[in-house]
Amino acid sequence: MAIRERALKTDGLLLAPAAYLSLLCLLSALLSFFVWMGQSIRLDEAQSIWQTSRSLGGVLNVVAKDVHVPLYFIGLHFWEVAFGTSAAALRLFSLVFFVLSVPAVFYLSLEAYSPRVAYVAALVTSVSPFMNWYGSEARMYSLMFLLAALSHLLFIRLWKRPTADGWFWYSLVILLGLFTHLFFVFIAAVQVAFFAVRKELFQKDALKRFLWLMAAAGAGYLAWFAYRYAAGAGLTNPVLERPTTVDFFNVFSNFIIGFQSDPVNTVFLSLWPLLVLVGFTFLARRRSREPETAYLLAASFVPVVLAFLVSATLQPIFLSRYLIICLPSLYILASFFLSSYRGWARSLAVGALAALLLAALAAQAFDPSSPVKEDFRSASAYVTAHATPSDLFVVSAPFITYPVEYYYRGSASLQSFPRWDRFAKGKVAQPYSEGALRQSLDTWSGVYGRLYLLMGYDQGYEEDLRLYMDKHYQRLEMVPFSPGLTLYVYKLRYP
Amino acid sequence: MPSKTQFLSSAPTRLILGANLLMALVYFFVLLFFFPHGNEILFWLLIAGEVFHTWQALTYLHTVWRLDHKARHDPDLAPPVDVFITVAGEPIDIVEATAAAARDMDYPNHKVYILNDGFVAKKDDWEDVVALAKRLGVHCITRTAPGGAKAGNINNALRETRSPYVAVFDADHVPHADFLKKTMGYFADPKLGFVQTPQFYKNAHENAVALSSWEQQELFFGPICRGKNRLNAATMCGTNMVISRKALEQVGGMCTESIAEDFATGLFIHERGWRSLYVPEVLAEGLAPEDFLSYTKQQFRWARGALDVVFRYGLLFRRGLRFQQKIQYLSSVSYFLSGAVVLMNVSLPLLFFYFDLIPVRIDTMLLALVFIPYIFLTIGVLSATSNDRFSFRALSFSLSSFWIQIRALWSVLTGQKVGFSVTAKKGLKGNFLHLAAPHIAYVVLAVVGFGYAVGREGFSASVINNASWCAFNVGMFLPYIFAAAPQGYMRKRLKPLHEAVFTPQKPDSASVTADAL
Repeated sequence: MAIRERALKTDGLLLAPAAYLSLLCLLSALLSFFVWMGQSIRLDEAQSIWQTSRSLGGVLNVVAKDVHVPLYFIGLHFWEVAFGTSAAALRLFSLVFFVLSVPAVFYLSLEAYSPRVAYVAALVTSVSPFMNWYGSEARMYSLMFLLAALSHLLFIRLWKRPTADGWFWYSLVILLGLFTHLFFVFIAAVQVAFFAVRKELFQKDALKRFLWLMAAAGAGYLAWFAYRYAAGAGLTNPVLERPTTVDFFNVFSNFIIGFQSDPVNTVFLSLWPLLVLVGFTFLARRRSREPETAYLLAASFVPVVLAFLVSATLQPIFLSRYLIICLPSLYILASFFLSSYRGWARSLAVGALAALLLAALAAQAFDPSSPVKEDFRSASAYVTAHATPSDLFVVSAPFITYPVEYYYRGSASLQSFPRWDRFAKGKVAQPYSEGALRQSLDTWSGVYGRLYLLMGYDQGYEEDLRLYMDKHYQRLEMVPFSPGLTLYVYKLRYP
Repeated sequence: MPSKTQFLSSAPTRLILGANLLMALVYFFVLLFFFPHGNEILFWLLIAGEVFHTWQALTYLHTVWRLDHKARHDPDLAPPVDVFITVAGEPIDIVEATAAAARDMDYPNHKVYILNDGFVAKKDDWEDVVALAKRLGVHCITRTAPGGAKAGNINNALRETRSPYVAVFDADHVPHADFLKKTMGYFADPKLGFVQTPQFYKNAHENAVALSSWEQQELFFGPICRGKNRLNAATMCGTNMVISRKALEQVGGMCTESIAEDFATGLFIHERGWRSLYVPEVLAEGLAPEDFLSYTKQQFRWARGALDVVFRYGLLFRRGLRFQQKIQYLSSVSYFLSGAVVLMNVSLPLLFFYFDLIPVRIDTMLLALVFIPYIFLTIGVLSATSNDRFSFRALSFSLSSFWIQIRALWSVLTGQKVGFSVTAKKGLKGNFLHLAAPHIAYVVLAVVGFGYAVGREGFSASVINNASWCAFNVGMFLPYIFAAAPQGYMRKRLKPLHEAVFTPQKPDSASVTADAL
């Protein structure tokens, strides 16, 4: 303890870790409570609620039909039992993981580098726009971040000061991670590759232990995938496009400035030559080639590159939120490199980064053009207020039914187009076609007076659908609610 | 004093070298084939520049691919050696230190000669050098017939001495006592023409100019020279070296036609089939230029000399050199051609600002996708091969010397006569900002151009991206401009920031692991 205090004092870091971490955790929690908790529930969150608001067996069954692994949903299920299904209660579950991530990053930085780096990395984590967004979203991403940070911490300890307990906790975290999200495989792959390249750092029996862990993980996955197969998987796969180079860099842009409007994002990405300049200023920083840095570099970039390559060649899976596993190491590396400046240049660099993150956080929270805001609550409220029993409320893409039905209390009948049975096996039964649309409209126009068509999450046919409706029916209204979420009202027949 | 061993003990992994090689090629081919052309002239200029960069990257990677080298060595070999200390007006105290150390070298069979060129160079203190030699009990050869500068001075001494081996030191390069013991054993190889050792600057921490000079030297005398050993292509550097008299006589003595007399002489010795060796151990300690004017003069002399060799001697077409040796020599001298490429590169954003001219219609993110890994791997390779010694400041001085190199190129192309000048051994005081005038002009042009471009098309992605490149270039020039600035208010006020950003971190004694917590 005395050593720690002396070290921190020597580093000019005035606040004791406990006080500092408490302050940051409080900051993260307050930001979430006052900024994010009140926002409309988003598509993925609504899907989480739908999947977890049933018996445990039912949860496993519907999750198996989806693309994800079940750990988070099982946890959320029990959380709901205890705290209910209000948006704030559900988001609180993620907030717990986010708040725990701050000390996790702190201690990981301490293990890898120094108290100074730990202080900066914890600050960066707590004010990160990306983390604040997913730290209060009822999805598994903040848990992924926490488990990724813990896995790095325990993995580094395996070579720096291995213990039998260390191996147990490491194995546990890896297994939890693998059953929180499939992308955790990338973290495991990086760790296996690092072990293969630097096995001299590890204990002699490390290979045997890694093989046992891989066997356990493989057996677990085998069981899960067998169960998925039996349950009928692939029901709600969203259609993702093959990623471009812009998408590749957008991931890093999201990691740093969160979700910003296109012009802001474009300007930010155009600044990339400055990153090269900053990179050159790190020449001759002696500690840059220590194994911790090599490992954290690999953990920060290899999953992004692998996901990009898989998406470009096999199956598009490239989403920045899936790659949140890269974030703990990336934030620590950024903190490490900025901390390697001396004197007030270091304060300036760290201050500039914190200021950038805070400004981006504010813009993300309050800029209405923020691209990930999904105001299903207002859209549903609007239809509730305006539509009558003789009208029809149709949502497209079909899966935005989840958040709409969470809020919608109106008298008009709610359907999706293309039509979709969430409990049926296989993918969306009726893919979009003009013929199917014409057929549906023939049916609807015989029954309903007006069509409230809410369009969001374009699956490649949104524009065709809108053009068809505009051509054949009188448009009465168009109300945008958030980027990518617009309500169109059409007259289907005259009384 | 800087470390005498760190820069000599790097062991880069082939993995990073191979990855860097791959990305250098990928980047080049993406740039060449994946983007529609903009202005055709600019496009081909850009490609020419990239061919040059790729050449530099490939030859560097080839050089450092393997750094270990075993040479034949007989520790008991002690043939007679004449030790030459070349003097042309350097301060007496500096010459004295070198001559005394040379005299006291732990070697059974050597004679020390001060080669006094003060008389022909019309230095007032030439007689003081004669007196110094007498006082120290060493020989003094005072040349009375001018010609050939330092090379002429050595050749004159060669005529008056007889030992089969000649060690050469500049006046400020103080040999260690074991210099000859550590080098002469390698002449057990009868085909060894010369042995070169590092040109270490003991005053590197005197100021930013001296430190930058040394950090640049560290890359050269570290991985580059060590790598050249494998290819029998050690560079003769004019000081801290031992040459076989036989080899020297075969090529007619030190080359007097070029101001890079050492470089050219080494080339001729290789051409005659002699082997060379670089001994990676600091065995003598000299002085770096301490002021900006001296640094500029030294760089100009080196650039002028190297380019002179390119244009005068037709490196690629000389008989006697093996292919790998030709590549090594060409690679060494082509560094001094990089000024023109740097000028072209830094001009591109300005051409966009003022004239809306671009070489390629880039998808900037595709470019970034290949350029960023390439450049960061290059940073990794530079760090790994120099054992973390090559710094941002050294890189800045290297790139910012573009104007010196262009002036040198111009003087070669126009056939201007340039005399040999000795680098000042004591720092000169003054305002040398005029030597950084092109760099300061660039900053002004970039700021004004940015405003002009914003006026033309607003804060578009292209304007921001080009502004970032300008900022990159300005950032690269800043340490150089700073070093040229006079000692005064600005320099004193900016020094802490400059050091904080550009000076590598001191060992972090306060760092503790979680274990200790």
